[in-house]
Amino acid sequence: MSVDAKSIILYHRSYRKIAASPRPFVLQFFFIALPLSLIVVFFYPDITRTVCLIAKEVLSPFFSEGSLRIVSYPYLTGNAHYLTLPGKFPSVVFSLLNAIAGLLILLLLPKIVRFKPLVILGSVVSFIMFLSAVFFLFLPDQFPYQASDYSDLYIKQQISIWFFVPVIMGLAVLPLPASLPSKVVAMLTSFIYSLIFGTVRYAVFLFIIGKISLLYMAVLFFALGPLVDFVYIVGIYCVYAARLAKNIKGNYTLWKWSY
Amino acid sequence: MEVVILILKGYLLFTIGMMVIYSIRHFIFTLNRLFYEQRIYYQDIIDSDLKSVTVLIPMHNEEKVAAHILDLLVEADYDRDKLEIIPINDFSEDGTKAVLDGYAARYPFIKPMHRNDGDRGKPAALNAGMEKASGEIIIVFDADYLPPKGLLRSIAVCFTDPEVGAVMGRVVPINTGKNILTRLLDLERTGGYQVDQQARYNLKLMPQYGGTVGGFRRKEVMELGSFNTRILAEDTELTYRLSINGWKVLYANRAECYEEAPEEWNVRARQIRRWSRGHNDVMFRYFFRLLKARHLSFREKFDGTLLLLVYVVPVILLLGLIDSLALFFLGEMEIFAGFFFLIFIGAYNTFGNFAPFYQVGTGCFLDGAVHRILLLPLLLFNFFFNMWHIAAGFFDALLDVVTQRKALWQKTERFRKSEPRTGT
Repeated sequence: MSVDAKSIILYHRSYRKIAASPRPFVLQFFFIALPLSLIVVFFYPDITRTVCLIAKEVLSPFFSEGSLRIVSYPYLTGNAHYLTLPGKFPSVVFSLLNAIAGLLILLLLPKIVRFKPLVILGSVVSFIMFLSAVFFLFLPDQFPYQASDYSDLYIKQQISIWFFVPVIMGLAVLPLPASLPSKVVAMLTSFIYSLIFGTVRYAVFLFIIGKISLLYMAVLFFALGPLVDFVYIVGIYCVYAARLAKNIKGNYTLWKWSY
Repeated sequence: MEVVILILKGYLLFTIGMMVIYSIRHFIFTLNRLFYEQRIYYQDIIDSDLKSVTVLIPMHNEEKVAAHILDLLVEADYDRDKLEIIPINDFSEDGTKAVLDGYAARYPFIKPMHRNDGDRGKPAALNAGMEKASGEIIIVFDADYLPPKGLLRSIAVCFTDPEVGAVMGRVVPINTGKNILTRLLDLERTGGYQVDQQARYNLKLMPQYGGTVGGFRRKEVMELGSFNTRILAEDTELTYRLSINGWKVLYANRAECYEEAPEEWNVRARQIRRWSRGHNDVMFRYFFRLLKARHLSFREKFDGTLLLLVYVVPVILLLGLIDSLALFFLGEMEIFAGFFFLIFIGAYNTFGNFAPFYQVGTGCFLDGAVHRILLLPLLLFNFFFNMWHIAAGFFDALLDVVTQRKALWQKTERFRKSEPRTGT
């Protein structure tokens, strides 16, 4: 066999690994991912205040003057902020209609939708809606939260999400054999996206529980809460990894075999 | 009420703890697979004196696919004097018998076995096949598998090592492009084999014998009591039985074999429910035996326990969801604000598919795949689907243990579009 022919014998995928040590990954994690998380740790009072200001600005046309107020309170090492607002308590008819709607979706979804996983996901969401509606129907006085409680919870939870997005993205993206600038861009994109998404969602959620009904608090939290954050995290990761996989096709110096 | 709330909070913390342990485990696997030394299999050993092999292929109504696997096996690169193929016709009501008899007439080393009485199902069929077999090594394929030419040799070669009790090859779906389900199953397989199994092999933990595209020592397994016909997951049981008795189970990532992945969600639902039922049955039987095993190291036991509990985790998560809902309506929303709850949600979203997204992504990346990686967010749908049916399988297994009822084997439906062939 000639040397040329030998040079095109490629590594089989079974035992290939990337030709790099894990040390740069550890360093990148400490110098890219953790600083982004530390931004949240050190600046969450300012970040939450900005989020509240934006949400207040967006929501003020829909609420009476003075009903939206930014509250500051001690949380962790500083002061976090959240928006207080009046919630809309559901009427008996509204609760009843939602209970019926939830039940109907629960029963009809398997017959209408053929994509089974969507049926199960939809059933979980409609079951939570049904449960919430039944709660308001039979135990309306026992509902333990006001709209402002949810607003407070959302902000606390969002601080956690903003902290963890760089950590999770760092663990997923930084080990990949890509250039440092592209990794920084991916990390920043996910971090900035989480800041914007968290702000927009805050305003939308507050509008729903303030103007439509408190009944949707459970659905918003369980179905559209932190679970959705992981969809965009995985989304950004997969776009990045797929582009990288495409770009490195044919670059055989990137791989090692076995050792 | 305070006690109830305390219990609910305690359960949530337990769930979070479990998720964190599994997330760390999978992250270690991913890093190991990407950066560290890969433990190669025995495929580079050139040994002219390989052991005699019997290939067992349990078949129940497999006329659509029987000819395909037999066509490939007669082309196998293995000494004919040391090879016999026993397709086990297990109570078939279609044309499987005619197909097998046609091949037997042409090839003397194909010796079909027709079963019409006794226990039904794969474990019983394998037991009957082992009684008839003459090979030192048994290699098992499901009927829908398409083994390449050198696969028998690749699997059999490791048994020159006297410590090896069983070996598992890599399963690759052949019908990946069929629909979204087959694409998602391909992702799961990639994460499971390319990263999970290989990392466990690298780290000398406990790779799993998967019941097909794998082999084991006939005499030794028969001495250990053959397969328990009451257990649906005979593969998992064999993994633990061999490991506890001091045998090594290997993983051969290079020994790739194509399979037909389920193309319909209902079929997949039944398959995963059956796997869960069988796996959890083994969990009930082997949990304490594993902890007390004398031949296993601490880390083998630790990882073996996590592997044993892998079909319990979706149940823990489902109960965790119910637990969270209860806490919510009891006015304990504050607990959801903490960092821990986010870890729980994160791990639950990523682990629920048996592998976190970064593990599946790494598997695709190592495979050289490009477009497949873009489907990763859709695993979220698979997660809820799996959680539901695995939980159902867990409760099936629990009822099996409590009532001592016997689980009936259910075959996975085939989708291959071809006319039955007789082999003549």
